[in-house]
Amino acid sequence: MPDKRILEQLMTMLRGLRAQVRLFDEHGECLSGGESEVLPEFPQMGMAVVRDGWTWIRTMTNAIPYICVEGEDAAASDCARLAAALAESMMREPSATTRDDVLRGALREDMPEPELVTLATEYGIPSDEERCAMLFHGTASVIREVIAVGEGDALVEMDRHALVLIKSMRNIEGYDDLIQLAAAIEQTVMAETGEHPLVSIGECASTLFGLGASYRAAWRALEIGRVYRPNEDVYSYHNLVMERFLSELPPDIGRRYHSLLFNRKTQRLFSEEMLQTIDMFFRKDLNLSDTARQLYIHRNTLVYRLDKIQRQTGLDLRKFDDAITFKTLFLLGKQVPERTTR
Amino acid sequence: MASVTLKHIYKIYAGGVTAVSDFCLDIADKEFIVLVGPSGCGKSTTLRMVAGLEEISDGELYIADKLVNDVAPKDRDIAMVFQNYALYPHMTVYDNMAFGLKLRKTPKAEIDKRVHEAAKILDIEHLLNRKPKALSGGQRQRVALGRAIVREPKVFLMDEPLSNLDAKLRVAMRTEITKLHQRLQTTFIYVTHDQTEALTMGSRIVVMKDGFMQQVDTPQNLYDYPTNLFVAGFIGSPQMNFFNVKLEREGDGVWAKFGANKILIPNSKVSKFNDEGVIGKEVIMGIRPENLSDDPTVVAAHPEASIDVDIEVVEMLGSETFLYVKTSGKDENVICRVDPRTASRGGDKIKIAFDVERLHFFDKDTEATLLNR
Repeated sequence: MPDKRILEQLMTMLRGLRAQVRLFDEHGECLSGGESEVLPEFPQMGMAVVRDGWTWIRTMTNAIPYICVEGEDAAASDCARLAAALAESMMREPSATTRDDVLRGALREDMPEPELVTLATEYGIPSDEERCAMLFHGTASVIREVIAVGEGDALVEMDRHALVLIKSMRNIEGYDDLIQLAAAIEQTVMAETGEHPLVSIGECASTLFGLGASYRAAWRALEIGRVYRPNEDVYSYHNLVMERFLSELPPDIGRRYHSLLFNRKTQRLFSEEMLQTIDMFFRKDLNLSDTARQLYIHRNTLVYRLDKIQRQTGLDLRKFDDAITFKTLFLLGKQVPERTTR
Repeated sequence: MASVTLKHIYKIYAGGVTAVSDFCLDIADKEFIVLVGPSGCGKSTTLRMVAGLEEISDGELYIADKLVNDVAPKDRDIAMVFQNYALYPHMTVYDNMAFGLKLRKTPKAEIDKRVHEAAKILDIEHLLNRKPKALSGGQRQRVALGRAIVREPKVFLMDEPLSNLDAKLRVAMRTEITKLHQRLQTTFIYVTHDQTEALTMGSRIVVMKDGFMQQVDTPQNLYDYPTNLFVAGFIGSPQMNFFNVKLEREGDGVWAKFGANKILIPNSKVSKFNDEGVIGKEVIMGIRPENLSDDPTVVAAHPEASIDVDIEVVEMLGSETFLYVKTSGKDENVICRVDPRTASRGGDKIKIAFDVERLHFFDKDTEATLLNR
């Protein structure tokens, strides 16, 4: 027995055909109000049968298997076929697609937009809402147990090692908040499970269809972040501008410029301790006192090290321009793998 | 009971890199133990192995007498406070503190009780409805601590929790954490690379270097009786002054000679040498800045323990003054901590006296101490 509401909708639409249309179940009982009938024989599926001033047709849906339209001419036959097509469309069984499948399809960009919108409507997923893809790279089944999914959010397992939190931006004020959230989740996962996931954040998307670009950005942020910022656990595509730019340069050009500063002559100068010193100096925005404090060395020791670099390379890292030059040449020595599609 | 025992713990990464070697330590219930050392020494790796965040390559770990090598972090009854603590930005302080308990399906009434108790201890009850954005750095740090306290763990693990705070706040929070330990009466394992934090907070300190334990002792013993050159140089700020000296017997006394200088070593010190054969050899002599004096009275009273120096820099800090001086037989500056009312000025040529009872001596090759306690 078809859904009453859908049957009423179908009848309303069939009235637009301006022909008498009757619907029957497999026993000949009239579904559209009226007397039951003896069903005709159909020599061929899809072929209309004319009997007693009515054109009969067998549909492809078990919910409304028989339709007849008053009249025996071609117009009646056309109406009958149209009515059958309408009934089949409205009575179609839902596909095996789940809500997660729809979201997964949006993230993977393997669905055309109209189909995505239709399916999203079917599953009550808002099409026009600001969201962001947050990718967790680790054991997905373990990580998902610990993530709190808020209102408007969705958690989608892409594969065994990739879990995506589609974060609604409703209560989030910008990328800093997203990074804080990602870090808080990462720490909770670590503390509760021992897993140490890497987390990356894509760009915000204002439509469901745009989530694919957000997901791609999240993957790219992970690939780039792992190379250029190996000591961090949370990477935001939005904040990796310099690194993204450098990764686009041809590797041979990058290596050539990198070797202008980092070569056999300077190998001894740039020991691990020296590089740590420089890294901290940059993190502390070229502040000598803060850097010395954080490294637990005397300020004079720090000055001595910076003077040494200046003597041997000509770069005074206390000056912004020289610091930028150093940082750029240093980062050019890192190699990012080719973009991969997921 | 919340003792922690580490028996011959190793951490070896793929590729054969050994981050921690043969770490053995018994931590008593309610003890506040500090792991200290430079970056890369293995202290955080050790802490993470206790937490279950790193697999133990070899050795055994016991928490409350239970072997926990293969026990998941959430089942070890520990709580960890990270260096880069992160709070959920859209949750209130209450919800941030309660979140871990909610994950474990703790009853609501119990969650409420624990959150309020922890908030009271940390003096943040008035902040429970606020969001992290509305909190200061110190208040956020307290919320991170609160998140750990509500779990009522047997052991607290803290990985440099103060290193992201400014200097003033760091000093204030140090005291808070010490008071917290006294109040909670629980075992604390604290990691830092700030030796001042280590000395002021720990009941015992483990000094680490390159994955190895160098010395485990009380703060005072580490300061007074460093077991090797590394510990001597790492503990104490400013750092201990080191001199390459030759120990020579002249008449009745043993002298430490360097450049044009010589210092008479008292018999009380000579008798403590663990190897008599050291006389006549080159060794490393150490003296802490506060054991050097520019007071003319002291210098006059101890001519055999005084040397000529040129003052290069004077740092006046109000409560004390540091003299950075140059002397024969040493390339780097010698640092002296002197009375703030000193008359010494930059460019002066003066004499400084060594408190010879406070001298340290180390083997030049092994860097181990040459003195018995």
